[in-house]
Amino acid sequence: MLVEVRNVTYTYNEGLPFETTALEDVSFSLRPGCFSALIGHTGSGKSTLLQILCGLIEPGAGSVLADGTDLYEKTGAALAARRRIGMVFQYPEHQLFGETVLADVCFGPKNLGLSDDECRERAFESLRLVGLDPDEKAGISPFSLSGGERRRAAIAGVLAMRPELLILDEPAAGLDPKGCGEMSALMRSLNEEGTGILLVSHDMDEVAALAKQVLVLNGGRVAMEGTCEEVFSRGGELARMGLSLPAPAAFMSAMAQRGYPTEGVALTARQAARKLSALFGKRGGNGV
Amino acid sequence: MAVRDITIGQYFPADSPLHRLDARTKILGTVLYIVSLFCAHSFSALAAAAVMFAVCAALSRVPFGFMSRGLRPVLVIIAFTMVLNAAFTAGGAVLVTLGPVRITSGGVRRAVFMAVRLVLMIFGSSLLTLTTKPLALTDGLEKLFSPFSKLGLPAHELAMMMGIALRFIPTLMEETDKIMKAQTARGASFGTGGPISRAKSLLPLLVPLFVSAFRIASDLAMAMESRCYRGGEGRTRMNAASLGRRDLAAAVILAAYMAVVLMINGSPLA
Ligand SMILES: Nc1ncnc2c1ncn2[C@@H]1O[C@H](COP(=O)(O)OP(=O)(O)OP(=O)(O)O)[C@@H](O)[C@H]1O
Ligand SMILES: [Mg+2]
Repeated sequence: MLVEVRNVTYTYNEGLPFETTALEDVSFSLRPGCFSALIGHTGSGKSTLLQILCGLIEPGAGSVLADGTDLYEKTGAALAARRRIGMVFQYPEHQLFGETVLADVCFGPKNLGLSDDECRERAFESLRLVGLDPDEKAGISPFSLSGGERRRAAIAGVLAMRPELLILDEPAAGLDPKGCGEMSALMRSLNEEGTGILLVSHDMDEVAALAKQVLVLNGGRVAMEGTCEEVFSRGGELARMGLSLPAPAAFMSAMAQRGYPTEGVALTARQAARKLSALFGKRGGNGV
Repeated sequence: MAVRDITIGQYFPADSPLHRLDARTKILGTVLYIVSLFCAHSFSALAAAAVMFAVCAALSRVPFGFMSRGLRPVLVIIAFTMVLNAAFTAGGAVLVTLGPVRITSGGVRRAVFMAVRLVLMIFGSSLLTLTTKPLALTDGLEKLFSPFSKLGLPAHELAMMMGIALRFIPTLMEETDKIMKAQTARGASFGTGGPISRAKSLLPLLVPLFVSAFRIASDLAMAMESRCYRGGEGRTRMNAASLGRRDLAAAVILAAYMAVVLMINGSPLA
């Protein structure tokens, strides 16, 4: 689904002495099946923007259109559009409440008005997607799962609604390296099957490895927008916004400062190695 | 969302004479104010109390909009007591008869009186938390309780408990807001349908909220213990509060106010 954000502004505690303008005149669009990343320094308005995107807080000015329908109209069409956007909040495991994992994952589909059988079917499917064995885990209490498993169960609860656009707010925060890897793999496979993804992350390596488009927020405004290459080739500006480069790109720019400049930007270790071997005129033994 | 608007117990940062008063003065002042409201038996005495509140509110530099916004949820309770009072107080001329219920002029008078008293009580006491930092409030309570600690009253622990409870109100509101949003994003709707489906719809909110409350509480306990908190014995303050001339002035004003209320009450003016 095509989501367009038009001139959105949002102010917390409007009219009070401690009001904060979290977003100012933000415009961009997300194409169907996109994989976009939203990055920005802490407090730059990322979480606020996500909540506006999935229809939870009405912007003070501007509008959000999903396939042309304004999300904040008071119509059935707007409600239906909101339900096609899924949101995985920061620490989604804090939203678990069901007596069993199955009951919890079924909550979303039930709210969509699906039959019990269909809810169950979707729940099993999404539990498998997130790597929880439904036969083993569906019947137990979500509170007896481990921290990482709880997060997966909560994400399954969102996936069971089969969103066309999935928004994730730092889904890998606090996971172990294996969990992070599996999270990335899950997002990639969902995207390959056609789900649009908007990811908020502080991990630039994750962003560089996954996203096709990057949107940079700074002080509530869109500071940059473009492909990973375009955005990460502006390391100086990013640094001024308190953001870093992916490790390979940072390494290449340190090399450049020592007098070994290379063309373009390296997003992965592989790309960096290729550029370095070209620079030093040696061909890698195993064809890097 | 509406939950965030509940500001009971919230501190409003500002620099005002009321903010600068010692917490003890403000606590005792609030208690005295509530007592005066209960002593008031006439509308003119209530008017004096209203004037007192208006003066304090103006002095506090807390915008009235902020104060009243936070107390909007309490209006339901006030409306409820008004209806009860109007319906079940006899006396005076009968105004309306609705089946077995007769609404009399005495009933209406009483309903209005009670509502005004309740509103003043809630607004008056909200001034205390609006102008006093939770930490100062806790310290003030502890000092006020401390004479009783010789009688075995755990003054420090009581004050600490109240302080933490106050501090937790905004935290829990924030948590409620977050969980509500997460469940709304999963298609939940709160507060629609009949009473049973309404109660049921609260389950996805209440269960995670309780879990969060316990998690936050145990985090807090851990944080306190890891900083060697062992209870009140032998603890000293970094910034010891002291009573000053300002507090004396406040005490004089409060005493004068109390006298005025009692005088109006007893006078034929009422
Ligand atoms: N509920 C709220 N009430 C008042 N101000 C808020 C609230 N939520 C956020 N803000 C303010 O709005 C601004 C943007 O916050 P937001 O949470 O959107 O930032 P963020 O980019 O998600 O940060 P982080 O990376 O730390 O998650 C901040 O200045 C913050 O202080
Ligand atoms: Mg955030």
